[in-house]
Amino acid sequence: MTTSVLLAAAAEGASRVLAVFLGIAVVGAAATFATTRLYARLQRHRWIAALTAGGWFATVAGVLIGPRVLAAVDADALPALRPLLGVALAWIGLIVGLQLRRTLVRAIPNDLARWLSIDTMVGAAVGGGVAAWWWSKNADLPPTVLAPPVLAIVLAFVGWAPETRTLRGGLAPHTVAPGQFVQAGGGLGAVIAVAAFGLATPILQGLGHDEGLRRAGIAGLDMVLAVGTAVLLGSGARLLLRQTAGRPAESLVITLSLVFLASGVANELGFSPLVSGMLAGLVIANLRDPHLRDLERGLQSAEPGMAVLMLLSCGSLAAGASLAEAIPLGIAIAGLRLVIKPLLARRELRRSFPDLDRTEPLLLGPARLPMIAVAIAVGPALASDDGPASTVLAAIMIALLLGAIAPAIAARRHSGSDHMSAEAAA
Amino acid sequence: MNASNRRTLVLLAVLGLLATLVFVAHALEPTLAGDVTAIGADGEDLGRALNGVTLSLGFLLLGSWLLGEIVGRFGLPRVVGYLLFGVLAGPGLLPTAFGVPAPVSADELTLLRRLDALAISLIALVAGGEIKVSFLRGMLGRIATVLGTQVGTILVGGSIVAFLVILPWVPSLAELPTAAAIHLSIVIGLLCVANSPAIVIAMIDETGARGPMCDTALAATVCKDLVLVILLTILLGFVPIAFGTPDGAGGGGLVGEAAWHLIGSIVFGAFVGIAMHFAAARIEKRIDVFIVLCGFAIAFAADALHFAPLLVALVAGFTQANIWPERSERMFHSIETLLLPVYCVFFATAGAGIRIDAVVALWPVALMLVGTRLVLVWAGTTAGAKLAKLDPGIRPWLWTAFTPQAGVAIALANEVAKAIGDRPFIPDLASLLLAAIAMNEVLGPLLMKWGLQRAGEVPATR
Repeated sequence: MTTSVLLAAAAEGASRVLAVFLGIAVVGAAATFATTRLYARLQRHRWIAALTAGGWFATVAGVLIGPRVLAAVDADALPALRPLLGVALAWIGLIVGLQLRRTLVRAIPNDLARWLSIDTMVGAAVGGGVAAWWWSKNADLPPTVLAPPVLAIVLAFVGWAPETRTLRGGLAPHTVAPGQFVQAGGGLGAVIAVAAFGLATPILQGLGHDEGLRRAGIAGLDMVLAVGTAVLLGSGARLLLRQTAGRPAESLVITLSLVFLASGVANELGFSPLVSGMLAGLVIANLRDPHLRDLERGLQSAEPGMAVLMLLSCGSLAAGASLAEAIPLGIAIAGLRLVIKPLLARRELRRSFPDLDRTEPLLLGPARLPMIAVAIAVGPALASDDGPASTVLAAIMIALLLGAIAPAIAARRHSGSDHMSAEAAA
Repeated sequence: MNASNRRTLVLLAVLGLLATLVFVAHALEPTLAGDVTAIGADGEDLGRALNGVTLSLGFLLLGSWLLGEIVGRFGLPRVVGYLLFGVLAGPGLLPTAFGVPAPVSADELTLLRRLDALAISLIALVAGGEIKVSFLRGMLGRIATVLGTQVGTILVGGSIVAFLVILPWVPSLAELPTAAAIHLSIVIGLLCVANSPAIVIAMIDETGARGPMCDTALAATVCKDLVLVILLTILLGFVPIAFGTPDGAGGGGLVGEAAWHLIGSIVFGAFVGIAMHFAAARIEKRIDVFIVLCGFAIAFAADALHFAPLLVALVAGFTQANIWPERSERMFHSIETLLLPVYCVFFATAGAGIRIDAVVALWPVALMLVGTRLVLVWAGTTAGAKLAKLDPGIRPWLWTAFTPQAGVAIALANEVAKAIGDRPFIPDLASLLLAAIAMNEVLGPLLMKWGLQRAGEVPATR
């Protein structure tokens, strides 16, 4: 290629190159900034911490690099996100599954189990209502297109964000135990949501198909294979980690292979990488091997990175959404959660902790959408080019972002009233 | 059974299980995965490749590492294990030899090769960090002497052998007019000069070798890359004359392109190095994530601006290691932990890309080319080392470091095929070159490890 041809080609693609450069610059600057001392200092500010935990910055960066703004990730590049997001989902699934260690599950207090059961049932009922409303608005579309996003809507009402630090102003000692309760509930809620997703997806895939029985058989075989693969991967990882005796480079190879294989096998078999990852995590957590603790730590240390990667990608993936539909749906999800979840939390949490103040911001924690809801909604959006799946993903992201603000406002009010009462007492 | 044998058996068993898992998943995929969403213009093929690429990546990563560990137990370089696993898993061997579908399809391999630039960036960052100004200042004249003698010997000798023996052996190449045959012979001679910086770095890393042979080989390989790019660009400028093509690239254009490629890469690399340093100095944790991001950025920018990712990353690493030697230590240490998975995937995909059909069809003539190259590399390097008055301890063995070929040689071969255009002899020429490169790819690391051991640069514990 001559210089003139090169320059002509460069001129033609200049805006595209510039856009991609800007995209890389945005992500690179954000990633670099997130590891600086200044960022760590800013995180002490409750508002900034709440927005970060709620995924605001990552989502905004995702939208910026997406097709609607800089187009660094344009429509042509979106398919390439599929493998990347599959890996992120498998990784998140593994982290969710790692919580299911036998000893931990046995130690779940009855009060927490009761709260979770009630919350799940009420949440599913309300979510079902919202999903039915959304289905009725899109009734002209075939059930095979609508079913996966509908499942994502229902599951957006299951569980809550486990983060509590931003809600516990001054980290008051009396909020330590209830805070742990909320955290544990959030973690278990994610397990329930992923398990429900894994069980319901094959059933929904059979909707509208003539070969219902065959599809049911395939779904059963899928499940057996996913469990078998999880056992194989978990046992294989244990065997290899014993051989490498914790050397970091070899451990990294094994960890990455585990995630790629969990995600890859799920893709090949038409199974969710999230569920496949969770099953592998469950096996690893219960093999009781000290070598596997390193693997667990390695996987868990990448959790924020995976969440950021997912939100960044979602910012681009949701570009095909109908905002006119996504915004009301997102507000409905966030609003209903804000009404129902704190009510249930107040009722159930105060059974275990009667001294807890009625205006305690911690009680608002369950109103916030868990990140796993986005991970669940990503699946349908990734698997199809259909608008409804992107719309539901966008709606759930809007609900996630809104959910992060409301409790922060309440926490600010609470700390304000504390301050005033302290002044009055003085 | 002793512990070592037991460990080898465990690794073999896991490798067997892994292969079974992948074959079962592939066998069940058409039944269980359902309809793959048609994406873009390439439709179903791309959809299937995107569906299977993660499994292929996991398979290549774990499988190549396992085979590398197994061959390492027999005293062979692990890189050979990574390459061999790629050959076994890739689309070349199983479908050709046994009619069995390959675990890694050609489409999946194409997607995986997009990671090459990232791998090259990370490998070259480390390589750049290994080259010290103090070493270059004292050695530049000697390296130039070694390279001058070596490149001259291989280029002249390789071209003569190609003209007199290789071309007449292949029917479609034997019929070429004299001008085209001479040009092509020089091109083949030049491709014999190329060697693999990635394998050199990987072998030094794997064996833990330290000493004058490692330093000289690394610096000379890097410098040779620059020389090769310039020579090949000039040579391809003569394609219109040699092959009678009416619309060829002009000399001025070629000079401009070479200058853009080289000077642009160096300047951009220095800029990246400085930017990386200032960013890294402010990063407290997870510097590995930052490095991977930088690798992606270098790979993308090099592609968009027509720079060489290898050169950009090399200069970036060199800048940091020489301007801020102590402060960049932490970053280089982090990259070293990342390098093992990078090597596994990079060399396994390189192995998977070997065209077995080409090797099978043209193995006698390719073998002759490989043999000729080995002799010329030995003669040129040893003579150059003597002229440059290098350490007598390394003189007889330095040539082994220049035997491996991989990505650079393949890229140059593809560039040649592209420049000559759509002609009937191109498939034969490409097959011949790729077959010879494939043989050097596997044989080179073995020779280099042997050379490093004989030069006494491999620690006794390895």
